[in-house]
Amino acid sequence: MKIATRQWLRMEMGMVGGVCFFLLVFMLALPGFAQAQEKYPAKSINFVIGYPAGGTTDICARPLVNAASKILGQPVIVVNKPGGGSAVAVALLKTEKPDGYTIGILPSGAVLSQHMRKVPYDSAQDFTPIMQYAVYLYGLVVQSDSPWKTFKEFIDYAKANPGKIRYATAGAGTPQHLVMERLAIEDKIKWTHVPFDGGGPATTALLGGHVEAISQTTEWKKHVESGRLRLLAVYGEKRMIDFPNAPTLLELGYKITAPSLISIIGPKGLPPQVVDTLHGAFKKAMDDPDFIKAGNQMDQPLLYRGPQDLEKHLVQMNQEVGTLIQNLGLRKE
Amino acid sequence: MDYIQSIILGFQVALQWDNLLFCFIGVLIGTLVGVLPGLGPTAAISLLLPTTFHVTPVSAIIMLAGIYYGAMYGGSTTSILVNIPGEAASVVTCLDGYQMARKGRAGPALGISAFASFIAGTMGVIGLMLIAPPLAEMALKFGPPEYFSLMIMGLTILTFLASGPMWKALLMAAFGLFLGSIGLDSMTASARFTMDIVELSDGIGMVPAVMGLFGIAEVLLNVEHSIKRSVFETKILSLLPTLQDWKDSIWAIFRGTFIGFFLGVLPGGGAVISSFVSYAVEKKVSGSPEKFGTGMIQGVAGPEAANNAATGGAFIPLLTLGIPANSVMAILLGAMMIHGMQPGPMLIQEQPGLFWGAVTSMYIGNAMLLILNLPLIGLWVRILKVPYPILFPLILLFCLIGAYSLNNSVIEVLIMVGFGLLGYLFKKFEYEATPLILALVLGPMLEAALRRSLLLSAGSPLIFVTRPISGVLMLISFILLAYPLVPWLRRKREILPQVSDDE
Repeated sequence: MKIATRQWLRMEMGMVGGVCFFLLVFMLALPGFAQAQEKYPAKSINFVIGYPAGGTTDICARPLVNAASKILGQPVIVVNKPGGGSAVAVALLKTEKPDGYTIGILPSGAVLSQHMRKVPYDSAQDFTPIMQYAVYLYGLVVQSDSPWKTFKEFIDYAKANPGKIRYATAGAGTPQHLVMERLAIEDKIKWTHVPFDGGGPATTALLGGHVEAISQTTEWKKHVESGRLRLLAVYGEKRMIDFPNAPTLLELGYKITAPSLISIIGPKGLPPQVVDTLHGAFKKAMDDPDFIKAGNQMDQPLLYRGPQDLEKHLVQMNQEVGTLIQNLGLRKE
Repeated sequence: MDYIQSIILGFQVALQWDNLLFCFIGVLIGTLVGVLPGLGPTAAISLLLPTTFHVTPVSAIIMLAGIYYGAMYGGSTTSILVNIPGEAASVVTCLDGYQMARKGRAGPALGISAFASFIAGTMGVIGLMLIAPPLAEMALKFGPPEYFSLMIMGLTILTFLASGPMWKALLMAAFGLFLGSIGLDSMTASARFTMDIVELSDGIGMVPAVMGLFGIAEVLLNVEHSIKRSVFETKILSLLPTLQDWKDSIWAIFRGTFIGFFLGVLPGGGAVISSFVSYAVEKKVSGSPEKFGTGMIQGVAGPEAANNAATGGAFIPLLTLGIPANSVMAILLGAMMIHGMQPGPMLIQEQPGLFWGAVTSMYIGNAMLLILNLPLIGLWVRILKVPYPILFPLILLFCLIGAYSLNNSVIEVLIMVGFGLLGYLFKKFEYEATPLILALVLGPMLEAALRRSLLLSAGSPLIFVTRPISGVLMLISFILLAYPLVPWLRRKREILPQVSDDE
């Protein structure tokens, strides 16, 4: 009897020990739940980026987000939701609660998309603008062992060989896509657009020779510098400082520049004090040396607009590109 | 590529004390979920993913990977001592492992499975190290058509190797592809099958689906069975296998390693399937196949080697192509994206510290596991004594908390519970959930690759057969699909015994 009890006890002890161990390991591991607090931000904030990790937008946004996170005193977690030239991420952001715990990037691609096809949002109406912090630079890039040494040679080939040129971008409805469509109209070219999820995968596709060219933001930079790829033209108003030999489209005789915007927005109806907090933090974060370094590295020029300015700018940008795309007849349903 | 330099770089990263700590936590949790029936590495990694948001990317990957290969070690303990697989890749270990324990040879059985795991795990890591970088170079040749064909081949292999009739597995894969198409169209952002439910516009999350199908369903099934579990109550005398044991099993270990590694590399392969194939092979090459099932040490050593080697192999398609070979890798893909890395051909060049750090940490992790699983075996035996009426509610609780904490959304919890019920029915009617999960994961990538390929070819599907790499992959898929239709080959497929889920 006594022995049995002792054995039972020992078994019981083992069992309790096991349960404790199990609980301990999982308690250590499970995330702590944020207590309800009045002060914003009381828990981590999700930051949605509509392009995959490793693209220009993502590489430059992460140090900004890190710096803002330190200022806000809460983690800001980057969530990549690529697709549709950022339109997927922006559409999802529209459905989030306006509590300030989910914000994201509105890039020019998502603005243009709404004029080129049907998307479930209106970038001028459905969001709370927080801040613009940068613009993109774009270029047309081919492989360096391709026969096209200049932009003109490339265009001449494309004219002479309809359907032969396939170009990749980070998505349908992005400015870099629009530029190619405009070139096609102007020069009566027939070429094929292959949209990828982001500039990284598009660049990889060009490196692998699966497309003939990319029309893209600066993901190609290090490959152009290393000599694997060749930059034929840039879409800004001025030449790029790092690539002074590449002409702008304006110099080449086209009246084409690519519209450009990288801004932070939240769902519609974000409380003003939340916008203030976020705007303050991200504006301060723009001085972060890591962010400035990333901007320089990826050739992403900084451009600041506060919440009110951004709101006005979004309305104006939508009007301008809307009219332009309408006149070109590029809207597809 | 200078391997020595890269390996030194890797160890510099992996030996930082915080990375060592995360590696240890990873393998510890891995062993725990491996030992515990009803909770596999997939569910555990999805559950613990949010905890890694605040650590460095390398630490996160090291820990999550540790859970995966750690589970392969832990699973065998339960198989040998209780005759219940701790996780699915240890199902076959029950066959001979438990018989060995009944004959009083639990020690050598546990010992050989730990050593086999260690040898295979380490060799798998070496294989990963040697193959991944050159493959990443070659991966640039993979355009959209190749990606599409590779994913098709992965799904075909998985359905081919699945237990039960192939049409059932194909049905599950098709259902998974459909579920994967729910949400916003990845090229145009228009909504599909969302029924105006806001939460569905982001698609069906893989984590709630996995936790439902593998966590909840497993618990429901076990509750119904009311398994009488008796931890084998013999004193484990010596853990070290004898010289004869080594002689018997060393070639089984090498064969298992080889099989596991290459099945692991293939999308759709993985630890579970490779352990079954290894067992079948051992039975075939053995002089006395009739003795299998009575406590043959080869029947423990081979499959345990195979499932560990497979974990190393499974990292290859993820790190070089960005294609997850199984659902664990899919969660790791998500984890890497959260930490700002895009797995793909450029990863090894752009993030050498991460790649080599993670790979070398697997050496260290395997060494830790050897210690965790041999001298500390008593600890795990103790865990096995926790009665199910206590264990299962705990598992349910953690699944519910885990699903809710993803997005603080009740809908996700409902989705998980729904998948739990669905998974229970699947088990009852003997449909495997693994093809569904892989198809759910690959579906959106598959669709995008298909659409891009057709854009490249101006609409001609011939692009999939005229490009050489894609053509070969398609041919393999076609042969596998046609295989069961040829009557005299059909019987051969049945060598694989019942495969259970969770990869």
